[in-house]
Amino acid sequence: MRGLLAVMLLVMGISSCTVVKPYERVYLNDEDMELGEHTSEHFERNMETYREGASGANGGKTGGGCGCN
Amino acid sequence: MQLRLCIASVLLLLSLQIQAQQDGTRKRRIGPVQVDILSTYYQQDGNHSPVTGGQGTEKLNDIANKIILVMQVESVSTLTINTHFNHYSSASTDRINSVLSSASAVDSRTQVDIGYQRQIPKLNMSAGFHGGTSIESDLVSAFGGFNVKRSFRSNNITLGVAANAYFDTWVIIFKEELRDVGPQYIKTDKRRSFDLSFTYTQVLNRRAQAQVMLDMVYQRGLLSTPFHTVFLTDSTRTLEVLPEDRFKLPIGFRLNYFVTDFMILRGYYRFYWDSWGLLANTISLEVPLKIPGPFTVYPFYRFHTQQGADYFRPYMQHSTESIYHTSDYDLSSLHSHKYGMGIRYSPIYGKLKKNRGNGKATRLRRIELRGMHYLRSDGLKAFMLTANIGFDL
Repeated sequence: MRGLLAVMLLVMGISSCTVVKPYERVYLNDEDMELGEHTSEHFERNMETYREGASGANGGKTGGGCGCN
Repeated sequence: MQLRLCIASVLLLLSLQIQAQQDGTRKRRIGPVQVDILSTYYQQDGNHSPVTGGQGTEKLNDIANKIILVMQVESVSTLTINTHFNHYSSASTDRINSVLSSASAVDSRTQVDIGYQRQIPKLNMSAGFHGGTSIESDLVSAFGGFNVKRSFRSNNITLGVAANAYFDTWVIIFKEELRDVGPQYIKTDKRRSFDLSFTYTQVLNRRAQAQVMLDMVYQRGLLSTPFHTVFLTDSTRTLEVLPEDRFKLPIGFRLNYFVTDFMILRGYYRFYWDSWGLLANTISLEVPLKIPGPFTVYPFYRFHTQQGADYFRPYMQHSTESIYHTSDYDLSSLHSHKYGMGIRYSPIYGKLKKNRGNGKATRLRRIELRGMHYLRSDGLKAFMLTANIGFDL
């Protein structure tokens, strides 16, 4: 629960960040700066969904479909 | 079956491409077709198989392939076709039956997912939908969903909402020795899953951006697995029985930071709670290193810890009075470590370019290899090797 609270405080904290212009996005546009999993991570995400009770909040499966509970 | 699906996907894509070219300016194809082919090999072994009551081998081998096709059908819309095939062999499920074939020693799964995404520049937003099906020997699933995203403050803030639904139908086959007790516990062969997902993305500065994700998931129907066995304290055998509904609430946070010109930090944290009493925390860190040339090497580490579901007990520890019971260690109290490394070759302008006329060219976009090792506190060990090749058509 403390982790959840920390995340919420962080969200409130970052809402006042400066505006970055399109021409200033050299670093942000890098492939490894994408906020999401790599394409090559799809299978690992599925495996984690099967082998652990927790799932979701990572852009992957949250349950349903084949092979998981 | 897999070959036919693959051919059908390519034919559909080509027909759309031809139509787009014939329809003149409005539906002119803008970019190349992006193709990603992924192959993976997975193996695991442990000694707590739920099929045999929380004891016995969990040895499993899986070979999976995925083909992802992405094409622009107009300047503002994209079509994605995602096909997935896997073929696995499992030592424990071989013990379900020696005659019938349900989930068996060797099995296959096929999945197709088709999606459409459209940009709406005037509103600085995009919207899309997808749908598909997957087929396994004992489970057929249909699914679909939609999503909407909108950006604000010169694309420094993005809000997203997505909804997905899964409709699964099981072919129920009990273990041979449990067929007499089965029907009184299993009331339905269907499972419904609904997922509502919210994302908030924020650019923090020129080198950092963060994202918060909240999922709300509701499942109803057959949430236990018919061929999982439970041994009670008096040594009798029965079926795994779990509640017919479950609510999950995961919230995740990502932070990516370009530390120096050659190093990036990719951090992730997730808190998870569900109505079965399962509580979990997950944290991971990946460090992509830009080595000279078009190569990136990225070591990664992930730690997961969970407090098990209320209905879990190990072998022969479930009371004869209990209504719900499982000995599936995936739902037990555990922690796990995952570590590994990947290497990616992705030249900026591609490689092996081959002109096909009319300004079209085929070129290699990316080659990637990734390996990971997984250790779970109950002794389960796993290894996975994934290869990804991406090219433009």
